[in-house]
Amino acid sequence: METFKHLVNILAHPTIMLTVGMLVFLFFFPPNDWFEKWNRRLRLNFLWTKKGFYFVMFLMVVFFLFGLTDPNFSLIIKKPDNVPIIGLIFFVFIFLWISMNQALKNDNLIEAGEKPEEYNDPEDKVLVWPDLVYIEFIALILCMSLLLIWSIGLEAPLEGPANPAESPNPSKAPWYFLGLQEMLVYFDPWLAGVVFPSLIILGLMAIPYLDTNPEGAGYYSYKQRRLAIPIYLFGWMILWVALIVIGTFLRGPNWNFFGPFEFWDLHKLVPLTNINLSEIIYIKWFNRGLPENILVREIFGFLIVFGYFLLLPPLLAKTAFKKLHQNLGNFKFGFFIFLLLCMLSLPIKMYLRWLFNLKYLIAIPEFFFNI
Amino acid sequence: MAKQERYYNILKLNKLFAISSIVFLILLIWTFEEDYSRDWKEYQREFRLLEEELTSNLLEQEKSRITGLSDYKVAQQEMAAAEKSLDNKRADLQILQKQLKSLNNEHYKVEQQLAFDKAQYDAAKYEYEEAVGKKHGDVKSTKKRFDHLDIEVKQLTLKLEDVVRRLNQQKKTIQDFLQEVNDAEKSIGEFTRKIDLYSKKLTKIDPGSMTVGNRMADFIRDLPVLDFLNPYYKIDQIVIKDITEDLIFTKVPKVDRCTTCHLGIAKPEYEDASQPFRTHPNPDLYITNKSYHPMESFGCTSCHGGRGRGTGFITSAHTPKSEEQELEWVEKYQWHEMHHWETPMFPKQYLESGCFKCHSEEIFLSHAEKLNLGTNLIEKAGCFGCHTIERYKDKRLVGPDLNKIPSKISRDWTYLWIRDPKSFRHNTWMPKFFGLENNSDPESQARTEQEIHAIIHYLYKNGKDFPLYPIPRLGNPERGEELINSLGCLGCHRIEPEPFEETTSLQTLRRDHGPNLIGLASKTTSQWIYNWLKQPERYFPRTKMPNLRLTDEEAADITSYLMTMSNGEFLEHKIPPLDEGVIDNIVKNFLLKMFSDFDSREKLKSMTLENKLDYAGEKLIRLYGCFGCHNIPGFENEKPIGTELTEEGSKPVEKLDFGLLDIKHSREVWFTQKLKHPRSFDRDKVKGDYEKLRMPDFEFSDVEVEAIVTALQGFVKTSYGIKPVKSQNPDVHMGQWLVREYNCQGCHIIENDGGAIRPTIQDWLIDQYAFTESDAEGMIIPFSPPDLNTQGDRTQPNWLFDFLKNPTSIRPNLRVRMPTFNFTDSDWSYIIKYFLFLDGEVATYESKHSVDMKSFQYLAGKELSELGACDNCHFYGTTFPKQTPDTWAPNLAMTKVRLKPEWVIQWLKNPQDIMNGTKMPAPYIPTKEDLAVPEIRESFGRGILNLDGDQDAMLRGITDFMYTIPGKTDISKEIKDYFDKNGYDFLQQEEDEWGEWE
Repeated sequence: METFKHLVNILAHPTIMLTVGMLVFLFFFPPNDWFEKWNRRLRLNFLWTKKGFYFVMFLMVVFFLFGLTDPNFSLIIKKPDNVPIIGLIFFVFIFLWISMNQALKNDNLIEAGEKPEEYNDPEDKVLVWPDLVYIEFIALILCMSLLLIWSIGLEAPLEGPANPAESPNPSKAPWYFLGLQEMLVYFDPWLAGVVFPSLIILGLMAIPYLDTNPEGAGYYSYKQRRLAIPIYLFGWMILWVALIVIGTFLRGPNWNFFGPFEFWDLHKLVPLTNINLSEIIYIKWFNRGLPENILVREIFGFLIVFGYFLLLPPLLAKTAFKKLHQNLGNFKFGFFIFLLLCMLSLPIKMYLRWLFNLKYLIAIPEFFFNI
Repeated sequence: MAKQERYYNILKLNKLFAISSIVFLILLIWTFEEDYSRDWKEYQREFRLLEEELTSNLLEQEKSRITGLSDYKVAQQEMAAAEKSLDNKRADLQILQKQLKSLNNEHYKVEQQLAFDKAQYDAAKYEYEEAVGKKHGDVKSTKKRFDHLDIEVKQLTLKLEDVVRRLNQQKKTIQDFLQEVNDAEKSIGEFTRKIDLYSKKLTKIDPGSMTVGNRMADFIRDLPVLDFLNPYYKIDQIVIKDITEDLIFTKVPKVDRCTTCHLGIAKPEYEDASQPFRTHPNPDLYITNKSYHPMESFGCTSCHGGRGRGTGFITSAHTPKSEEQELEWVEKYQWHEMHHWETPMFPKQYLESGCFKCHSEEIFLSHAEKLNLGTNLIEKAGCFGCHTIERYKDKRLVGPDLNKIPSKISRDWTYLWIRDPKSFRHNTWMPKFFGLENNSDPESQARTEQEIHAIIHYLYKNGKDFPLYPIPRLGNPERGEELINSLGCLGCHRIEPEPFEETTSLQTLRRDHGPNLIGLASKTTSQWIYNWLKQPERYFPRTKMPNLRLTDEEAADITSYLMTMSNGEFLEHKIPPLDEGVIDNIVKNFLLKMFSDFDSREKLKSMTLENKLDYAGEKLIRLYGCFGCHNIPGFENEKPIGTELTEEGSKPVEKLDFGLLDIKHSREVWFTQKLKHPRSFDRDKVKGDYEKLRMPDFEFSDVEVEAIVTALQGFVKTSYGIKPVKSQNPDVHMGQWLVREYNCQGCHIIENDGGAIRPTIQDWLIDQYAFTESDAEGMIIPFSPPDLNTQGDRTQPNWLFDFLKNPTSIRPNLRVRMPTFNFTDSDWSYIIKYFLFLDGEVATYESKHSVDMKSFQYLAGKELSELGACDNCHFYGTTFPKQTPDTWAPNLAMTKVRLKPEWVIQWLKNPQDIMNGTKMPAPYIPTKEDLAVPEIRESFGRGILNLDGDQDAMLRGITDFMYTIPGKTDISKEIKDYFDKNGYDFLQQEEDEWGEWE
């Protein structure tokens, strides 16, 4: 049992968890034919069948029940603050399953030349009065019941009086902001705290204008939206939900990583020495000091960033996203690819940090400008 | 009508709706139930039953008590008789009462009418005045109305008066009728007062004793929801405005709800009840309104800690006193810590820590024994030498002065001593630095062996000269032993060659004030001891050792006695030779802290061995903080090396490093561990030689550790801004501190505590003069240093000041000698102010006691002193008493300068009241009855007869007489000459010559 816990602790480390998660993600949500081939060969769509649902739910329930027997993990999952996150894990899966299950059913129907299930109205029709109002009323009562049970069962997680001289360790943002807090580890506050959140909102608002694919409107389908769904789910599942889960369960004192079954030791030390790109290049590779001139010093960082945002889009427009570029036109495509690159910059920066201890690509502390 | 379009099965939805509604209803009820059922209500119910049982028991007891009383029976018979006689007049009474009723009606009617008319009258008056003055309205008609009402009101007033008069008369008549019965009722009431009280109480708490209506109300008042009005079971809280809870951004008054469950805390009847109902163990100090800390103004958590607003066992932050109790609580109450409450309740054994929230400036706190022991131990061990503690700022260092050490002890002895002090003196306070758990591995041992060499090198190289005077004559060890036993040395010192079992207390610490005087021949030279004894402050200017004004002969005798004790084994321990290689490493280690590796090596190369030892010695003394306890040349202005402890009791637990130890994370556990095993937090840690923990091991016992932890827990931030009386006067505070620092209580009893020397007096009398144990016990007080309770009342401040500066002989046959302390005049005045304070006095100018030598009072005093034969025992100036030295008592000629007359009168009334065990008998004072007997009357003189048995006047007379006794006040020299010539042989026990005293 201890070996199992130890294994989980190792697997839970974000380098492994996120890498595995991102790879597996592509097989479960194949964006192109190659992945789809493997998806079929591995029968991964089993997950979206009823059996798959029960299987995953069973696994998750067993995992959490097992977690309750571990003194460290049970402390984390029983904390009243964290209960919504456990709910979140289950609900995210349930809703994902519902939509994917329906999408696959429809895909099969479409493949057989039939119409998606959603066309079979009025079986799915609801009368506002009396049915919808009645159902909503029942739902309301059940929700209230749930809230009552919750409030009776779990005491409010009150803490000591607020004291500006003493911050709690770890000091965590509210659960819905833990993704942002995780980003702060890798990016300067102005990026992680201002630019990225704005871009997320902007991006969500832009979806209807960018996603002009008429297929799949009004019904679930995966095959017809093989690009849109993986991109969205990558941002949502990996870069938002997973970060919240990591922030809740795996970030302990001093914002260190702790495996789920690991004791939150206040004195745990991990090496956290990071280095800027300019230092890597000038000092490590060229064996010379940093140039005085800021622009000269950071030139490589600028080149990389500009290259990433200015060279990659035309390149992609000619290759991977050729069709999309044709459909969207220059302006829309440009905006789309900018958002996509911004989104991808997060995992890229994470890997740069983990692999090369890279602190910033461009570091100009003189003007508080770091990327 | 066409069939309605439906897509949902309404019946199914109905069912779902029904089920969810029922679930919701159940949950709603559950919510109310959760809100309604509180733990404290259970306790209150339980207590109500307990109270009911107790009250009805008391009621029964009281009933059976008074039925047995004959007076009560008489009262009952009177009552029966009165009622019987009233029965005969019952008819008349009824008529009278009927009349009274109609009179009452009439009274009501007239009064009402008058009230109406008066209102009309006032309004009419206003209108009339307006008409006349401001020309508003018609003067004539308003005047008419006003006049009419005026008459009306006057008539009605008269009528009312008449009715009232008649009414009172009627009442009086009825009263007369009932007089007899009322009287009887009153006399019965005298007996049944308590019964009425208990019954009344029972009707409030016992449903069985209630009326049906009240019983229903009693049930309804506590029903859910309705209980917001006036429930029986409710939270009881004390709000304390003066004591606030610090919530960082604001301060809120303390609210203590402890009494919600601790219902019997202020009721003496619940002494034996089980918790939480038990009475407070010390209500006269903490609970009642007459106590110093009434519950209403201090609450509970101000002292106990904990969360006063909590109404549950856990939420009020109870803390278990032991692991067993913790397990018990976990099982019984599912107890866990209140994680975010920074001031949990003090565990029972550390309860006294709470006193320091207000009393932190006090030096001695009565009723707080453990806390006092803790602070005493901190002072004794000198914790503040390394750890700054505000309370002990600028206090003298606790260890001996090392400035002139080469003249006192040898290098070898010093080496062995530093390595393991207890191997020389088993009960020394010098702690152990070496051979502890983090520095006893072979490598550390090799290093520390050389470290001691370096330290010694520094001490001896920088030691100053101390010229030693030669001993003028050979001493006599036997006489020396007698002197040590009799002069009072044992108030501060022990001579205990072997380790012994003893529970540390304030009293044992007093005898640890100076070192255990063993093995001195192995430690130092006779010449040094002689020089030290003669003038301790010459060697050590801030020493606590006073000067006993020893003659050359006495000093030589004591020296020769002390030199008879040696510790041969100690010096036989092998001292490892100096190893330059290891010294090099030590020096380099320190050099590397400041210089680069290259520079360090260069510097090391340029150093001679001497240089290296100098360098390492200084660094090591600084590292280990030796200067925290000892005066060491070159370290006069050094900062303490340890953590500041002023607010240690408020330190968050997270800031304490528990290392890798698996122990409970709480302050008290950490403190205990640190004190017991100071280096244990280094266990399994990888640390450099000079990064390790340095706190030495004092080898404290469990009792000592608990006491120190109590004090440490008391060093808190919280200040309630309430200052107890004693701390308010800095002079008194200083005085008390000096008394404590210089161990006055080693010899004297002050504030009812001290006199540690007393048992040794008994031993001395038995050993030296062959007293039996019981005889010796009886002689402890006469031969001990004086009890200084009432000292402030007793002596004149001026005399006391002179005495303390230059002690003279008071009790002539006493061998114990008051030493001369190296105090300043202001130090003495602090001490005197402290004595005065203890007796509720202040130092003021006092006029001389004037005596009218022509008065009968004075004459009577003189006669009485002759009758009482005061001169049998007391000196009158240089006139020696008639009896032998064993009964000698103070010089009465000194009274006029020494004592306060008011105290003398109190003393004469009954000496035993003031000083239990004194040899002084109360003088015989004839009473009025005595004087009435002619045979007795004859024996008295004119003065006594004239006072006619006035006891106070006679006592004043004796006092007056004493204040006129002529002669020398200081007869120290005469007494000394006498004993030099005759010796103290009178003490030698042969026969039962003390018989006359009993």
